[in-house]
Formats: sequence, C-alpha cells, structure tokens
Amino acid sequence: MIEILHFGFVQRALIAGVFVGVLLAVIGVYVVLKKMSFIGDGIAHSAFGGVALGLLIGANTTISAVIFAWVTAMLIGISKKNSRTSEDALIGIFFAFTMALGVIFIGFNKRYNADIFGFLFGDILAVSAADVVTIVCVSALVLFAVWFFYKDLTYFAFDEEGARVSGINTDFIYFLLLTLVSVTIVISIKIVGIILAVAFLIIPVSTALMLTLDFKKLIFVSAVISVISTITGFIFSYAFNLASGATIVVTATALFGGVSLFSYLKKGR
Amino acid sequence: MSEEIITFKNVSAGYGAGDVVENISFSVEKGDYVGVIGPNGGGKSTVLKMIAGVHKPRLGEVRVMGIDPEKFTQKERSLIGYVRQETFIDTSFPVKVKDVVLMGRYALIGPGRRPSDQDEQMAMDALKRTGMENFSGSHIGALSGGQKQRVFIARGIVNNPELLILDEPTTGVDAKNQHAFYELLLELKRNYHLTIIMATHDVSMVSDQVNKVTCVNHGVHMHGETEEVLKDEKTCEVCGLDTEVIFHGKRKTRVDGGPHND
Ligand SMILES: Nc1ncnc2c1ncn2[C@@H]1O[C@H](COP(=O)(O)OP(=O)(O)O)[C@@H](O)[C@H]1O
Ligand SMILES: [Mg+2]
Repeated sequence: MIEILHFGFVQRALIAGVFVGVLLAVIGVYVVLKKMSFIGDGIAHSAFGGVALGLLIGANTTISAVIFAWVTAMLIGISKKNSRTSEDALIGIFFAFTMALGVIFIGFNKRYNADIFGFLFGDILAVSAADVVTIVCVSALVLFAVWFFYKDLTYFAFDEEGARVSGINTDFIYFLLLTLVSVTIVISIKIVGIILAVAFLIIPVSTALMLTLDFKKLIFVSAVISVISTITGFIFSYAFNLASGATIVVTATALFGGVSLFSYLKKGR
Repeated sequence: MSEEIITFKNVSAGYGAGDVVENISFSVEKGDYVGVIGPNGGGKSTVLKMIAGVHKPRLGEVRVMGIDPEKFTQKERSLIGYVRQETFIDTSFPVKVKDVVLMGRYALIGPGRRPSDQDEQMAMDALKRTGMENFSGSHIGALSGGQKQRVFIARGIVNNPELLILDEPTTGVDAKNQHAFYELLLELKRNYHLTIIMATHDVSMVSDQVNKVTCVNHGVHMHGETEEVLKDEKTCEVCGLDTEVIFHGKRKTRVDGGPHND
C-alpha cells in the first residue's frame, strides 16, 4: 500500500484532502452552530452556476465559481437585512435561480462536457498541482481569518445580539462568515463536489459535538474526524475504484453513525 | 441634583411599517432602579435596544451618559451591561461558563488577541459576584435557568459597568429562584453603584424594589416614581396592566401573566 505514495496524483490527493478536510471542519463548526446549513447549501448550488459559466466561456472555473457563490451569498445576506421575505425563502429563491442559470449555461455548451460530473461529485484523484497550490494558499488565508476573528466569530455564533451590544461589528462578522463559507465550499468542490460539500461541512462537526462540549476541542476533533474520513475515503475509493467524493462522505457518515451508536449505548447504561 | 444617565427626548421608533413607540420622553438618574412595564409587543425591548445602541430612533434624541449610543466608543460601550431572557440563547452551544463571561471582554480585547490573565481574573471575579464561581468549568447548557441567568449577569457586569440593562431576565427562571435572582440584583446594585433598567412582566415582584417605573404601550407612555405610577388605576389600565395589583398588595398578584414570546 505504501508504494502508492510515490505516485504524484496520490501525493496531491492526500495534501489536498488534508487541507480541505481541516478547512471544511473549521468553517463547518460555525455553520452548524450558527444554524447556517441551509445557506451553505444555497451557496454550494450557486457555485454550480459559476462552474457552468466558467466551462462555457473557457474561464478558470474556481474563480468563476467563487465569484458566483460569493455574490449570491452577499445577495442573500443583504436581502435578509432589508427584506420582509424570510431568510429561508430567500435562500430557496437564489439557490434555484443560480442552479437554473447553471443548467442553461451547460445547455449552451456545444461540446459534451463530462467534467460536470467531477464538479458535482468531486474527484480527488484528478487534483492537479495548480489545484494543490490554490487549496493550500486559500486554506491558509481562511484559517488565518478564523484565527484572527476567532473571538468575534464565536461570540457572534453564540449570541448575536449580545455580541452586537458589546461592540462587535456583527454585520461585518456575518458577511465575513458568508465569504469564508463561499470560498471554503468552492475550494472543496474538486475533492467532494458541489452536491456533497455541505454534507461535509456538517457531518464531522455533528460527530464531534457528540464527543466534546468544549469549543476549542470541538474545532480540533472536527478537523481530525474530517481528515480521517478524507484519507480513509480516498484509500477505499482508490482500492475499490469507487467515486471518491461519495466514498469520503460515506466514510464520514459511517463515523457519525458509529459515534451516535456509541454515545447512545453509553447513555443507555 | 443627581446626574442623568439616560435621557429620551420625543423619541419615536419602529421597524419600518409604523412606529412601535411614539413620542417618548423620560430620564433616568444615576443610581435609579427602573422597571419597564407594559403588555407584550408594547415596545419595552425596543426602548431598551435604543439605550443599548442597537436600534435607531426614527425621531427624537436618545442620550446615554450624555452620548448618542450609536456613537459610543468601545470604552463607553463597555460601561453598559446587557442581559436578555436566557431562553433566547441556544445554550446547547459548546461553551464553558467562564468563556461565556469572558465574551463580555471580547470587544475590548479586540481581534487577533487572546484574553490575558487579567481578563480571566475579571471573569472569575464576575462569577464570584453572582455566586457562580464553582461552575466556571461547567458547560452552560448543564445549568438551570436561574443559574444560566446568573452567568449572563456575570457577563453583563464583567467590565464593571455603570448601567445594567435587563430585558425580561426572569423568563425561564422558575418561580422559586426568581426571588433570589431579584435579591442578587439589589445586592449588585448596592455594592457596585449600578443603575438598572429592567423590562419585566412581574410588576408585583419588583414594585417594592424599583424606585421608578416606565410604562410603554405604543403611543402611551407613563413615567415616574413607582408609587405614583402604580397607584394610578387609569395609568395601569392604559398600559395594559391588571388593575388588581394596585389594590391588593404587591407580592401576591402576578400581572399580565403567561410566558413572553416574541
Ligand atoms: N426586529 C423586528 N422587526 C419587526 N418588528 C419588530 C421587531 N422587533 C419587534 N418588532 C415589533 O415591535 C413591537 C414591539 O416589540 P417589542 O419592543 O419587542 O415589545 P415588548 O418587548 O414590549 O414585548 C411588536 O409589535 C413587535 O412585533
Ligand atoms: Mg420584549
């Protein structure tokens, strides 16, 4: 098994997997605790519109997806602050709209494009050297932002109004968080895919929440669970020639199931 | 004459469609203990939010310590403690009691820095003052309603504020512990020269503790010494209060009962 580490694509897959795993887990902690899973889903689907546009006009799909996802996230955020329509409905509207745009763009695309499957479900074995560089750099930036605004983000997630009264700029923190979620989702598309990115934002954190109620430990445990799932999933998908993104998510879900069962049995006793 | 700490001058405010409170004027002096009463949806929270600087008046002027709350510097802002009903906060959140109190220091510490030993010490002191120091390592969700609220009070006073704003702080606290909770407030007020303004349903409970009462119900507003406001049957009626409280003692009757839900 060890000798596969000599393959360039395996090394790239592992590096990318570890970074994306950590990133998804850390941002996932805030998404889950601030109950933003649905907005995360909306952002992921709007990234699809961006990917489709990138493929159509021959632009870098990561950049077009980030722009699409980020603009959509900002629109959801701004409308939420200034509209009577409920946040859920707004997300549903934007989510459908950008997804529909994506489908139209793909329709315009005369060449049949098999890539789209990779974007939807992820392909860790197809990670290029340039992808690795992007993933590492963006991860470093996002993790730095979380470190720098750790206190503000945490207070915001726990008690938004209390944070605001105490002097924290909660509007800024909200838009920062939306930005970090957008970037994180787009960057992880290569690994787990658009459809599964949100699952991966949520599952490791939900597993970790059963193991610890200490906030700092929660971030650490989520990251560890996430990385374990990514690497285990990668190994399985390589060994048995399975779809990698799906295998990773199935592994993460299996861990979630195992820990659920464990804590249920522990409580039952 | 004592110092005015809160001043409202002809204040109207709302949330878009129509004003929730209209043309309110009153002042609170340093050392006052003010009860804000009125029916659900009458505008109590809106008034408190304007004092805390998180809601803009549409018309008129709000001054806190002589300053427009929206223009507070961080230091001025930290002279205000703010406590809401505990049930508004999801306390299944993975955070320890001491870290909840430390949050009160976060904005002062600023981004990119960790709480210092002094910050930790201040958090522990605040917990001591509310009798919660033995729970500093507990998960916030493991506490009872009354204990949680003591922790949030500790967060409210961690910066040694001048003014404590409480918005229905005893919702979610069982009747038995409410009395102890009000006693704690009185003690803190006495020991630390706090000015307190508190929205509450529980007029009977506080009528012998607060020295001033503000009654808000949309366009209607009464403000004055507790006795004065509560003894006026008409006042209470307009403000949506049960008139029984005025005639039969203070402690016995729960006014305008039922849980608050907004
Ligand atoms: N964020 C908000 N957006 C729109 N309307 C609000 C908002 N907050 C409060 N209101 C409305 O303003 C009125 C007064 O509310 P509030 O000040 O919370 O009253 P109280 O605290 O006395 O129950 C209510 O009718 C409420 O529905
Ligand atoms: Mg209220």
